[in-house]
Amino acid sequence: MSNQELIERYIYVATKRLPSDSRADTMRELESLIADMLQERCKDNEPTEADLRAVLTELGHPDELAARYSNGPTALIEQPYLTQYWNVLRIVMISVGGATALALMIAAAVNPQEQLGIVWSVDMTMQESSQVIGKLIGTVTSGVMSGLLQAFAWVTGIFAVMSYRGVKLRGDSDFLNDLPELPANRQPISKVGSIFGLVMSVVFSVIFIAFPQVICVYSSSYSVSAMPVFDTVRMSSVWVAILGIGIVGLVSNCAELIEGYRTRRLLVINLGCNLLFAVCAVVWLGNGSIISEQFRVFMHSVMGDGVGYNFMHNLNLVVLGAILLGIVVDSIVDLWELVAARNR
Amino acid sequence: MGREETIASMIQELRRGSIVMLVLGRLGSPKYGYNLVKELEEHGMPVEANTLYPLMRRLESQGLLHSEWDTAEGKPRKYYTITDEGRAVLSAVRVEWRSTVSAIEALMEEEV
Repeated sequence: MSNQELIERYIYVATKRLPSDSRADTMRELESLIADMLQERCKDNEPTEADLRAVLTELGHPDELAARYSNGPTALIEQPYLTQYWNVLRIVMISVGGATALALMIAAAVNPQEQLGIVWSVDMTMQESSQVIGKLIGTVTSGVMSGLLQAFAWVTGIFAVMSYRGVKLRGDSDFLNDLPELPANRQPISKVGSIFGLVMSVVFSVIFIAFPQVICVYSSSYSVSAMPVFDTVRMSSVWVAILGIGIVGLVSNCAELIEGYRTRRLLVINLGCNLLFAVCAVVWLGNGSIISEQFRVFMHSVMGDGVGYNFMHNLNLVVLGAILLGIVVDSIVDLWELVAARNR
Repeated sequence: MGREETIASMIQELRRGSIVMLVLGRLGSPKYGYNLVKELEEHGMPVEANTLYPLMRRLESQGLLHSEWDTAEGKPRKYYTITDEGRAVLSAVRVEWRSTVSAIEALMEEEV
């Protein structure tokens, strides 16, 4: 490539996006500048390709030069839109992710054949169950990813248009009336914990609705392999309560991710979720027939009569009691924080 | 960011805030772009050509500078001169500059 062609290519890239009325003049000016820089570097000598490359490198990438000549926006979304963009994007992504996971979960539970291409059966083997679990996780994951991508595209597109057109976000005096109330607890809520809770809510619902048989006992010494703890027929009759627990978990963790702090609104949501959780847990675990008879018989043969056996015989009530105790403690803490915040 | 980088960044910000005033102040007589680059460099205020040239074009679009091509010499060069509007703006900014420098000096002396 000759020196002249290199110069022309450089100037072409630096000016190709300039308005047509200023492009020719800018091209001529850059040519003059490069000539001056070469003259200073080489004096009376003929500039070599190395000299020219040094000068053009000193001038910088032509795209950067073009950006400096351009009077247009320097970013897709500029302030003051950028801050609002991140806020809205966070809320939308969390809500869409949670809602999509929930919808797919409900669809798979109600109609597994159509959603997953499987015929659910209480007599599924462990291998069949694990294959189906894998398929379910894949379906939910791909659905959530698709939903998140769409949400990202829509929010980004809308804010890019608003930024480009300079759409007014709010009136100058409005912001004072829109200030959120102070959180009851100034410690930010752990995002990792909330995301973990969100994922576990989905996993819990999937396993306990569709594959309760995976919760089982193994014992090589008693020649027992995969004895389910729960009666799968009875479990299928309380799937609504189990789904309710999953929904409560999703709503509660999504709210935590959105709020970020323990605000009054979040505490009220938590109290409501705790109440629903308690009701669903009672429906799910209140009846002793939820524990499989096989499991009871097996535990009796291992433990005989005694405290240990009584514990296992009434495992549903033990778990229910623990859940309700946790709910009561959590609710008391929330109520105390609410009262403390009101009195502040 | 290390100390050297922090200092360099702050110095760059200081210069960025005064470059427009300097360009207007040095164009009382016609000059071409590279001429001004070397002049500022010699006076201890180096400005890169890829910053100065787009800046002068922008000031021209704002009516603060006027430009003319000179093809009389061997190489055609675009000469810039300050306009009456540019002079008025420069005069007002200079007053503010002196006031700002005085205030900063006074504040700095109190604390350091």
